[in-house]
Amino acid sequence: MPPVIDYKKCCSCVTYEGFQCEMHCPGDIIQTDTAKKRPVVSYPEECWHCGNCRISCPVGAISYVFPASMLV
Amino acid sequence: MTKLELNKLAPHVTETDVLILGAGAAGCLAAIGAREQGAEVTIVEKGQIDSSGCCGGGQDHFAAHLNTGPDWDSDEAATNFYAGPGWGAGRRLVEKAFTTVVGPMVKRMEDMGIDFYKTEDGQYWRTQALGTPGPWHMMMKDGVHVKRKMAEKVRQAGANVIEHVMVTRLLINNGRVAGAVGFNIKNGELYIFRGKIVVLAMGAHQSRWSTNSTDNPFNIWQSPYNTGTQLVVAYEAGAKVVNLEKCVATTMPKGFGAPAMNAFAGMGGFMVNVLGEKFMEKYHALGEKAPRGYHISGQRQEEAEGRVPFYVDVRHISESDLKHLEKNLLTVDKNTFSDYLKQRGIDLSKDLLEVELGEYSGGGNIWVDENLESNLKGLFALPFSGMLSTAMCGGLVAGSEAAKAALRVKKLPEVRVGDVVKEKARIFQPLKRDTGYTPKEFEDLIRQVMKSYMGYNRSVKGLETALERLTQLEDLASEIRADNLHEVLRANEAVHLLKYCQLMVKAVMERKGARGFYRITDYARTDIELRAKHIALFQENGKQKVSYEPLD
Ligand SMILES: Cc1cc2nc3c(=O)[nH]c(=O)nc-3n(C[C@H](O)[C@H](O)[C@H](O)COP(=O)(O)OP(=O)(O)OC[C@H]3O[C@@H](n4cnc5c(N)ncnc54)[C@H](O)[C@@H]3O)c2cc1C
Ligand code: SF4
Ligand code: SF4
Repeated sequence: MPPVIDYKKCCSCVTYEGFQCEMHCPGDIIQTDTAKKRPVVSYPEECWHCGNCRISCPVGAISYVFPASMLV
Repeated sequence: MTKLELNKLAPHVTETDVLILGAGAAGCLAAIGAREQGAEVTIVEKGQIDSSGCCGGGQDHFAAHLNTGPDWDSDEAATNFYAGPGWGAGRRLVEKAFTTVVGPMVKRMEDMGIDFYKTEDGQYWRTQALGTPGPWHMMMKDGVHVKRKMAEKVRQAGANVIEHVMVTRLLINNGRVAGAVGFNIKNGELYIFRGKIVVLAMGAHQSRWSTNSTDNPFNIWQSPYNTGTQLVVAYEAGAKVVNLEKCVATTMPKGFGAPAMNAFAGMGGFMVNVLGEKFMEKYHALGEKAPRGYHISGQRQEEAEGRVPFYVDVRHISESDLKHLEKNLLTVDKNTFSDYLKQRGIDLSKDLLEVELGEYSGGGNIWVDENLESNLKGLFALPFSGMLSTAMCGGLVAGSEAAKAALRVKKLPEVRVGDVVKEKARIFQPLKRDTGYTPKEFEDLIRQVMKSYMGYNRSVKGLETALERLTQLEDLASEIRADNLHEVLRANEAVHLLKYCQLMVKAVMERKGARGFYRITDYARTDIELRAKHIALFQENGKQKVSYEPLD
């Protein structure tokens, strides 16, 4: 389910408020995993596939994998 | 009530001349317009202004007439195109909020760093689509960052930007608007906004009540994060809301909530049915370049006659045009378009792309006078929208008019503390419940009703039933539960969505005829007299009222 964060690439980039992918998501889909101190895609099924998280990611850690319902 | 006293109720109390709610293209330009007039501005947004709204992930086309000589490129042509029942605005407002503004807006965009593709002889490269009388569609270079560039200008202009706050209610006092209430979706803190003037810019399309073949209400064309707040808060505060019965849909790639037809049509693509026949010219002389409504009615007819599914064919266009289409248009308009093509295994140079009729998108805007002020004193809005250019131009004029009005207001209107206390309790009430409906379960009920009675074929009896069922849901709304702040956000969105749907159904009933991409069995023809009027819904002393406003 989109988006997918590659944690090997993610550098946990933080702006003044939080992770860039999280802050730029218009739907509050990406949130902060406080235990692991990294972003987490909490509500993939509510994603609009707008691409904002990927556009905002400085290290190219985000890709999209569409669910079967969009591909059948 | 002093700021200190209000602070006890909410940690954030903001006072400003012009309060702009919503920071899509319209809200951003409203902020710029208001700052240029010298007013203090606060702009409030549920997301982050660099990426929020319909154009947040990028945009490929900017539709503008440029007065270069031909009739189709003139002010007259532009006003004729937008004025009337189709877009739902009168001539005077179209002239004021669009026709005279869009030329300078192109220059303004270039100053923001938004450039356009040009032809070899240095003219703007423009294509024709969606029924425009000529090639009005200018194509933006680096359209991916168009919203980020607007946002940068808003910050540079000195607006106070408040992000990740969902607005839930307008505050009124003594018959005028006095501010708004909202909460931060990340930390749950309450915000009270006080403004001399308020501009509403929380979106032109509301679609989460309808789904396409995937049945996922978030996988849709227009932003799923607009759930009717724009219309609902205005209505509840006493403003007249119009154009609620307008309803659009679009042709979209199979299973992928994305617009594409303007780019495909602009670059010479066409639709074929299952027999491989081009069919659009049967329904409109402009073929694929016809207004969106004809795409829909054409496909409906082909479907009724059994010639489904449909495909878009661009295999015949030149290699360079195809590259431009994929790289600079489709993937800019919806950033994940090429991911979709890849994962579906489609190569546009060799394959047909299957398309389908997407979900419905509901309309509606606030009725405004010639100064873009609503019947509720102090409340401003743009008169019509639906495209990037109309949103930016209408927003700029609304912001500018709002600022002029704000500078004439001596004293900041008071807000009633009781209203804030009540709203705070209402916003967070779902957190207090352990049982009840999740926001998704509740929204599914709304969609179930809408799917049954507000689809393509509608009848008066069906609309009455829809209203009845939606009223039943109103009683269940107090049973929505939320386990965290994200669910509080969705719960509040669901409540607005329900109210929006009720207003929409009521407006469709009052129109006594179809207005958009549906039909009503009981009315073969739209009432001609009503066609030339706005149907306005508003509240007076807690009672719903309907009025007919001239569309002039
Ligand atoms: C994918 C896509 C591609 C498009 N491509 C084109 C194109 O190429 N050319 C063209 O002319 N048009 C295009 N359009 C249409 C165009 O983008 C829109 O008409 C225009 O951007 C609308 O701007 P707006 O500011 O009126 O509304 P929106 O962009 O919807 O902005 C509303 C804002 O209000 C915020 N908001 C909503 N509710 C609340 C709340 N309760 N509290 C706080 N904030 C709230 C939202 O987060 C949002 O940022 C496209 C639309 C989409 C969806
Ligand atoms: S694609 Fe858009 S909606 Fe989906 S998670 Fe990324 S930013 Fe959020
Ligand atoms: S934007 Fe990229 S680098 Fe930054 S937190 Fe998100 S995934 Fe990690």
